Amino acid sequence: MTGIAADATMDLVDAAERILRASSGTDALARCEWEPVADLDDVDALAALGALFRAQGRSLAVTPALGLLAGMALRGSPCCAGLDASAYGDRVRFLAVGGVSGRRIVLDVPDRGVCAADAEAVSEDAGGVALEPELVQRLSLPKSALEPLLLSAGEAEAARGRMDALVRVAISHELLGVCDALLRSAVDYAAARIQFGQPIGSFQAVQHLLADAAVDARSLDAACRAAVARPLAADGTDQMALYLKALAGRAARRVVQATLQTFGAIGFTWEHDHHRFARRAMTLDAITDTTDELSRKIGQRARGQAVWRSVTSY
Amino acid sequence: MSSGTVGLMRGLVTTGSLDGVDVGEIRSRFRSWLTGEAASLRRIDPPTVDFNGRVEAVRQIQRRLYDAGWLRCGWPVAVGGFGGDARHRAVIYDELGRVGLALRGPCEHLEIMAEPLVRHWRGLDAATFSAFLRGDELWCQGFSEPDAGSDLASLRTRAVRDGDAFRISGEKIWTSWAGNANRCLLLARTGSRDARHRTLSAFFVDLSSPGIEVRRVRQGNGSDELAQVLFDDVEVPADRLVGGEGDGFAIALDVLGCERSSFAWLRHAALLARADELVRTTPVLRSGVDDAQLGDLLLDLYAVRSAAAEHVERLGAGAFPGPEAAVVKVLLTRAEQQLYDTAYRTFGRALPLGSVVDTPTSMSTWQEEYLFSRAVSIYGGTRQVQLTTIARFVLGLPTGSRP
Repeated sequence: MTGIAADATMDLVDAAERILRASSGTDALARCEWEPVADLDDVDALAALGALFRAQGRSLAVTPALGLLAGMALRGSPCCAGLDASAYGDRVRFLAVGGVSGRRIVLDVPDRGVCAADAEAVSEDAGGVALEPELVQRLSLPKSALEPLLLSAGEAEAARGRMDALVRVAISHELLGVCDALLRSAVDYAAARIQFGQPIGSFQAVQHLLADAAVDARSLDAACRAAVARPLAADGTDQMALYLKALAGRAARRVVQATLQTFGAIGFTWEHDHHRFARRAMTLDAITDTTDELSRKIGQRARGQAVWRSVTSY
Repeated sequence: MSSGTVGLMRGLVTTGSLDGVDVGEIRSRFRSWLTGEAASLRRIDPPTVDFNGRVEAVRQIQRRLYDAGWLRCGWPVAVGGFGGDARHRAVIYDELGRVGLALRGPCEHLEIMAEPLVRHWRGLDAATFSAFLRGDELWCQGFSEPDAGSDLASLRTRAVRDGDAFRISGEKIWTSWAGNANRCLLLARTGSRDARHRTLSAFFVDLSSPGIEVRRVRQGNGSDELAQVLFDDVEVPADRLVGGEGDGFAIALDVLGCERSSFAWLRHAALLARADELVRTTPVLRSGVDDAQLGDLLLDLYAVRSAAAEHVERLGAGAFPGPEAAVVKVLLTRAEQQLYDTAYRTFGRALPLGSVVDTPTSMSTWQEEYLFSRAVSIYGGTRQVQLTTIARFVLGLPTGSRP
């Protein structure tokens, strides 16, 4: 998108995007000189986090960054993190972010606490093979494979809050990157695709479709910038991250729809990368609560208390 | 610092200006002042359908805030302010909204036309500007005409040079608050109509000048802040020209830039205050509004807050927002319509519905505001104009065969 003032943030995003287009995995992270944020008050590290994930969304690169970030927040060291764990029978289901192979998995199990497990114990959960296993996989393991607690349920509370906030902020940036790439590509297409003797992007119906989606993307951009401009350890961070990820999921859904409509049938083919962005957005939406779950949570929390405190808590 | 400084303001500034003073400091000082004053200020502002009553209430609140020094924050010392910029003003509006006291109605023009006037009109002095800030005077903005709505550059009102003056004739319409206003920032043509936006000029006109007639327009929501303003050979001194001849369109764009940044911020504070009231004091739990819908409304408010904050920041740093600020206006429209949709769903048949009430109640005010909110996608540039602006000047989509 044009119209965004060139600034230091965008320079970082562009640089990271170039690297992520040329490499992937831990190698790409090393070339970006990126390390998971250890100190939530380090705003330079937060800006780098925002830039890396935005670039990852633009390039659809696959790196273990999200897993490393979550593991760092949960355990204090980079590892593979299992999120959204739930128990059923004698097994525990979870979403593994960051590749599992050969790694230790750190898992926050409801009513139990934070445990570790060996990658050998896990198996693919029902529901097909993950297209991007280094990004996220649906896995399960037997409860018996869980090793002694690293943190009790009570102790895990603070770590979980920290992890949810960080992961939500990171995912929101990645969803912003998805919006960037889709809009950029749809605008280029609309300027080049001729029908009725004119570029379709000159028709008001198409202009308004894309402009409306750009409104969502731009508000997400503003919210993302504000989110990483101050220390994340401050009061209200949890609430802010809830709002930010809900906004991001909503924006991405709208941008996915408006851009597909712009591409027309060609955008609905396997060869076109639109569906890859759409799938990435759906995957990211599912981690640490979907947009709909977050919206309900936001509405429920606001009842009977000051809206001001809710929307402006940070 | 001027002698108007009182109470908690004192000692805030040692160099004679707020320039460079941390806005957080203003916020916390204002918050402590407001703690003691909010209750009595709130009593001034009863919900009323009668627009004159509303104007009077807003004036009283403005006067109290001005006399305590707060409304002088964020305006240059040269025009009677205490220095600082839009960012200093923004925290004041934010804190007012937080206690349910958002500035609404006529003083919204403070954040629409004041900044362009301060920057572009050399003739603006402290006495004139202070009267506006304090609510002693009310100013309005004469842009739209019967044949120039979305297509502003085709306006017909003419200003012809006559020695040390201009003589102005024409017709303005949808001029908000003109019925109560003393002055008007007027857009008129000082050259050929073929040259469209290049021959527009801006004037600061006294509405008491001979030859001006103001006719109120009662709107569909029942209130009558809009008006038609007729100019019949009105003499306006040449020193009332804002900027230079032909600068009118650029000044109009700056006015729109403010409307889409600092005004949007001011207005979002009012919406948050109303949303607060809706959620805290009404039976939302029993209504047809579920958690997800309420969450969606709060996200719309969060979206406009985030985007407006970014543009207030830019305005404060010196630049009038450009076409990208159209995004803020679309977000504001979404949030306002979503808020009142939620109110409508919440209150349902408790609203006056088809009835027109003489004595306003809380329900009739919600209904009046609901009806007004239907039109917020029209004023200040229609939603369609905003989207076209974004498509062409932000996304860079082609012009094609558009006229």
